[in-house]
Amino acid sequence: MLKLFKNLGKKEWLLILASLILIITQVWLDLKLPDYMSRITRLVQTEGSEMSEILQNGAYMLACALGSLIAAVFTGYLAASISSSFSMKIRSKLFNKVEDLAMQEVKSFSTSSLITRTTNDVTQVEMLIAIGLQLLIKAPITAVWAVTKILNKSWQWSAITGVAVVILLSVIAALIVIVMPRFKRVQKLIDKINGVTRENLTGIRVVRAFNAEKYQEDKFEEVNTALTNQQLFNQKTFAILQPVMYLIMYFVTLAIYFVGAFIINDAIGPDKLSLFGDMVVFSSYAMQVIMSFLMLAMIFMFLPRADVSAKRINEVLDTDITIKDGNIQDGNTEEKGTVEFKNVSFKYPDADEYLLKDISFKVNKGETIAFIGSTGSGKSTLINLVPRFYDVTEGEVLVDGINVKNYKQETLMNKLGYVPQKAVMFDGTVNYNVCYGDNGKGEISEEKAKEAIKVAQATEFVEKMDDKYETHIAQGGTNVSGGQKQRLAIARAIARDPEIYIFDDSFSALDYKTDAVLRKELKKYTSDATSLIVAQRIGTIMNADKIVVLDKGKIVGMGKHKELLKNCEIYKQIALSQLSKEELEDAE
Amino acid sequence: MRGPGGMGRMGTGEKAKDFKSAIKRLFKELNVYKILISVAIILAILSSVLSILAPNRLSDLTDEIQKGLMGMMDLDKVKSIALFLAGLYLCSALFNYIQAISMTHVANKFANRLRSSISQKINKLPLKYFDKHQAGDTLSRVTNDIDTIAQSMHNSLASLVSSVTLFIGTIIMMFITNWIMAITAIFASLIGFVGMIFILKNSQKYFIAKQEELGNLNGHIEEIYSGLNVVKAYNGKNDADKKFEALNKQVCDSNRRSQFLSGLMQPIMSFIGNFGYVAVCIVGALLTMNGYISFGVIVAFISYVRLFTSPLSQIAQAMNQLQSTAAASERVFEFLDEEEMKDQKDISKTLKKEEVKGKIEFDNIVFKYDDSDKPTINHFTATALPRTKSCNSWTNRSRKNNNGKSSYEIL
Repeated sequence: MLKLFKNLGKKEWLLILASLILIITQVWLDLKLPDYMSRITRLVQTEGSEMSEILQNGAYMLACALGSLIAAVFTGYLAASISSSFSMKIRSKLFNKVEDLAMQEVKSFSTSSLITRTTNDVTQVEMLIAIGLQLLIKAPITAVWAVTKILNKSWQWSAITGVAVVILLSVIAALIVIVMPRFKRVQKLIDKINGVTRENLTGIRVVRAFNAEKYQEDKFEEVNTALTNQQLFNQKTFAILQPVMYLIMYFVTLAIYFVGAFIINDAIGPDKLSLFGDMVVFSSYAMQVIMSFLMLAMIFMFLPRADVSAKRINEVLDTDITIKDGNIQDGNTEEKGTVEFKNVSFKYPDADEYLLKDISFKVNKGETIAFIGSTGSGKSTLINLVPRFYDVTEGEVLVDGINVKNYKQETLMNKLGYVPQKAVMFDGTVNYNVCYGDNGKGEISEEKAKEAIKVAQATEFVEKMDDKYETHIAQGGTNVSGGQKQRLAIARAIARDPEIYIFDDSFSALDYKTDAVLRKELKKYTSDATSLIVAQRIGTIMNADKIVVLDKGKIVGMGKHKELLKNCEIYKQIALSQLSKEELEDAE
Repeated sequence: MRGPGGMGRMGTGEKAKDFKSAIKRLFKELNVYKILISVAIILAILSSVLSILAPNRLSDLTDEIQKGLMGMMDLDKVKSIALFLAGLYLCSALFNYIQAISMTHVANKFANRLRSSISQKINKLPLKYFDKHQAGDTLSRVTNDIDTIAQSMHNSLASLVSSVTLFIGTIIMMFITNWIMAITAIFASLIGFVGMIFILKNSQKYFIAKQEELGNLNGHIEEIYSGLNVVKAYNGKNDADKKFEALNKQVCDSNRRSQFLSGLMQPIMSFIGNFGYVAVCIVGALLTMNGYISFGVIVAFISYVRLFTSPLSQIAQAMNQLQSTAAASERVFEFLDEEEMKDQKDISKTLKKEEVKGKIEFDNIVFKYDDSDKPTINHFTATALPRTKSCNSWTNRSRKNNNGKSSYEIL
């Protein structure tokens, strides 16, 4: 938590200092109130005191209350400013950090966790500053100040207040110890109930087909009961707090008056009157003391939550960026459109097993190279090494004859046109999505975008949409189908005009016919561009200049379709599982 | 203080479409628990009445002590009053506690039942419902909405009852004790409340704006994070940053405003308390000096002012919470009222295992999705015999996207 506060700027510290002064003023005024109260009480008690005097003291008291209100308003404004600008800063820092993270780090955090860290967790910390900072400063000051005011009035009264505070704090402490860990369990159970429901919802067709409704309902019921019981226990335990709180406060007043009666009874003459005034004042100071301890306790209740959030934020901020920028900025390299892997091996930093081992190949300008293999053979990982989503563990990847690590990332990306497995759409128009990003050659013209859409076989459906090229695509592309999304994603790569295309299984959402036409058009349109294709279907890659067959991270075959059919057993198996003998022969 | 869960939700009331019927429906569903709820309500009223009676006795105690200032104090009487008060406080706390746990019980059992009904409902809905609704939407009904209902039931329902009792009871007691002082206290508090209502009304729109802008920002963050590989590969960082900074700034501004306004409530409340105190003291002093009232009345009124101001803000809060409860229960009941699949009980023919060998016949089928005019499947007749791979033959026959391959299987 403290570490996170290092992000507070000079301006924020100054504001905190200002609010500190304001809070002290506020406490001073708050504690002055009972003084006037006592004076008013005494005046009312004394025979023959002037009404004007009472009014005067009343006015002073009101002035104090008003001053305290004004100070509180200003403090509130400062606290709101500090907390909101602090959270803005942290959010911005997190966002920039995540943008720079390597994909493997993103994976290890998981995207959804990174999202909650940037949104929810930041809000948690913000709340703590907005509310907690004031309380954290105000409560101890009030407590100490009020204690010094009452300490030498009467030891009996002080003892009563002390006992009350101790009881109150121990009740709260007991509650925290008993309930806090169980709150975490509730959170877990809620996650679980979410999980079971999600499972039922997303797999509804399977559930129906296998008549598993009863099974799902039983499973749900189990978690539901556990959650309810846990909640009941927590809330019933917690319900004790409020009555106890009130009880303590009432009893303190009662006890002070009761004990006061005896003290006054034992006193002599004029002392009695001043003792009576003291008693009234004391009971209100005692209230202040108890309230401020209560406030402190409250902070300790939600401090742990904010602390967890702060830790989660720091975890992200402290992650080292493993992908370091190179310094080659000039994209005008001697070689053009080549990709070469030299003895490349890859594993995740903490893993023992290599995902890729000893991969070497080279493609030249205008060639198409395809990668095929079973699930988990490492073909996606391999292709992701080119745009440096991951960095190689051993060996090197060269683009245009230069190690990818030596490029400035922007320069490298400007050479590439990457289409991911899962098409990504952004909130914006069709044109915005196709012209997305920056290719270092200035803005992409509308004609260019239109052309790209045509090559990607997307013209037909785009023209059918309400606003054609200006149709709004919802966040995540929920208003277009999977195949349409995929075609727009391909159009995006084409509009970029890259030297090297990378298709990470980008044709899988397309039907055979569209797939074939698209690839043919693409070949025509980009005759001098190099293509790297990962695919599941033999049909997609049959005509590639070079096919690399991967199995368990190793190259087990490389060559053209016909050669591989003859001399690569794995390739033959994949081919036979997808195409009939006749179809295979047709291709020949 | 309602545990760590309570801090996050602050008066950002989601409005129900039809507040009245939603609340009516909610109470209808709650009918099962009417005994427990009645017990809770009665106890809440009792507990409030007791805490109203207390200041009166406290004032007696003060008077006794005051008598002692001049002459001899009747210590026995002091003792008996104190004992009585202690009993009163204890009973009030006990009632309060029993009331709280019975409401908790009702709230959680109710939430449990609602969750079960939703889970069962999922399995009774026709599949077309799930084609039209996102899983996240149903999920949030199971967790968020039901949580809101349970939360506010055990927070607001009882506190609404006890606040209203407290409010009315205090007014009555004040007038019984002394009508001049009563008017003073009410008048002094009212001035403050006018200001508070004004702020509440104005702050509502800032809260809504804040929620909206936060939603926009979160949407952008989600979009960029989940498409990070594309953002990187297309050098879209600048574009993303620009949007982010603009949204972030907006959130910061509206955050500051709404945070400030919601922070105002507390100091204003305590000012009202102090203001009431001064007013009561001064008027009280005037009356005491003229011999109309005893000093004990002032002490009693100091408590009354406190009792009187706290329920008003509690009522405001509870009403706000009731609004979001209505919205949440509306969403839950909407789901529970969705049209179900035809009951399959009246289909008496059950398939015999021995006879079923995997023969499926399609007899001239026409199928279309609800909101499209074109049938997805048109007059299709086919028989799939056991052990012929019909799925394969479909894929061979139909090599174009969107021609309804998966729609077949669902039928």
